[in-house]
Amino acid sequence: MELLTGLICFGVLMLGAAILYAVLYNSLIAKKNQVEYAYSGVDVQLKKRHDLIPNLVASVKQYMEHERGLLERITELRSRAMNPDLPEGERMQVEAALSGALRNLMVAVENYPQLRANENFMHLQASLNEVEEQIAAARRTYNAAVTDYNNAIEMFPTNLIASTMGLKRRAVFEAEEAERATPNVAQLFQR
Amino acid sequence: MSNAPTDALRQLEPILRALEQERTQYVSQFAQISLWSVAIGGTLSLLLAAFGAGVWAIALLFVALIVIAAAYASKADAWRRAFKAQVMTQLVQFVNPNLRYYPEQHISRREYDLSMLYHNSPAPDRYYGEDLIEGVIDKTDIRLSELHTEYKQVTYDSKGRRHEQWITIFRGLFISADFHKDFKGVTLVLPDTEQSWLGGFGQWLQSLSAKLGNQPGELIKMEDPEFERLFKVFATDPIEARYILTPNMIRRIVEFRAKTKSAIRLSFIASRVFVAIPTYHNHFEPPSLFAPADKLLAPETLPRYFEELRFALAVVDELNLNTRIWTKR
Repeated sequence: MELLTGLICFGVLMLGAAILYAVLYNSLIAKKNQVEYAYSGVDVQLKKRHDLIPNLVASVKQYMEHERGLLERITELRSRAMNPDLPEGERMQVEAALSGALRNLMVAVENYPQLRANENFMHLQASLNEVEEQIAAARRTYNAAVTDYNNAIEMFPTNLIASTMGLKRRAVFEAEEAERATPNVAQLFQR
Repeated sequence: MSNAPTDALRQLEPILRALEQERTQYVSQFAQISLWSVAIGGTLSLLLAAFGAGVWAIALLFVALIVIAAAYASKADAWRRAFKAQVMTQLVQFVNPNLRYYPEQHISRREYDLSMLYHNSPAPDRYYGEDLIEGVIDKTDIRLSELHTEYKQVTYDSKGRRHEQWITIFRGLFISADFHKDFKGVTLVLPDTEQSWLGGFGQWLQSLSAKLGNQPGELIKMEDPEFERLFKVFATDPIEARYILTPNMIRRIVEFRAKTKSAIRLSFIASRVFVAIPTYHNHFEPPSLFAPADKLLAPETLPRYFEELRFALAVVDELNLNTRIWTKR
């Protein structure tokens, strides 16, 4: 009888432990997938930007004779970023460089009043602002997901399970100071 | 834009002086009605009392009082209407010629429901509003009014007696404005009550509340600690929520809350922003009918109403809604 009670107790304990393990395991998987999902959100927006660049470059080329170097650099960075064989870390660096170059372009545009009268260009500029805003939002979503995930794999008790699952810390996107501010039209116009 | 343009407002002073005359007319009409009521009612009830009909005498005095009260209500109302029609209409035009003012109208119930700002409160049984202002400020169309929504709570005590109580859901300024970006989902920015005194546990409760379907979508955590302390965000799409609530917008909301000094809530739905600013001050109302003449004619009167208006319309500048550099025009 006592043996039976003991066995039942043991069984209940084991079952409890198994359920707890399953819950924690699943929550970790959910967080890992959340990170991947958020990453694909960034990816989608970066691709949108790639699609926008050829039109943008084509529409400003004829006006911006003096900025040819900048335009070539943008085109080159775009094709490098689109290379599927590029490792993830390096790709993000290229994208960051592309962000910087595009910002410089938008500043340089202010020296060309004809461009500001060009309906097509104004539309492209709005689209670029839009996509940059979406990229920023997607990155922040990614960072929030990564923070959540990193917390889970470092905090007790999920850290115990995480180490058996081989989950590693992920890095967040570091936003450049200039990227943090929303595009400010007034500032652009002053130039 | 911090000080009201006092000199320009002076141009509106003739309106105030004309209105002051109207007010004295209302007061004298009311005084006449009151005097006659007291005289006739008093004499008759004295006579009735002399003939021993004391009950009738008291009833008659009561009638006289009711007449006086009704006269006051009607004159005070006429005064309110006159003030709003003449002063407020002009002031609204003065602030921005594209705006229109409708003293007796308000934000529609449909729009109130659409905003989802109080979707967790019971549906209002009493819906009252006034002072609708609508129009386009630069590129942003805006509509706002005072609103007071209440629901009826019926409780039964231990003896089975029924008790009715009216409970306020919202009272204050309700604003609906065009947002400068397009979006499809729902993002709610609500005052954070749980997290402020329950900390992490409160946050866990909030995310549970979203999972149970009390809130649309999921709880979204923002990076700004001050914002997080003051607000909780629920959204159907986390990326879209951050697309709307950029770090810049978050700072603006925190500052706007500080300026309004009240627990504002915002929602972003169908490319519009809805803002509820709870205030217990009844906006855009004239001084009392019996206030001394210099109260209405005081040099600070017009600037004060001007400030009230600008406070109500500030959301356009505070949230930077006229910046249209994205694809939405």
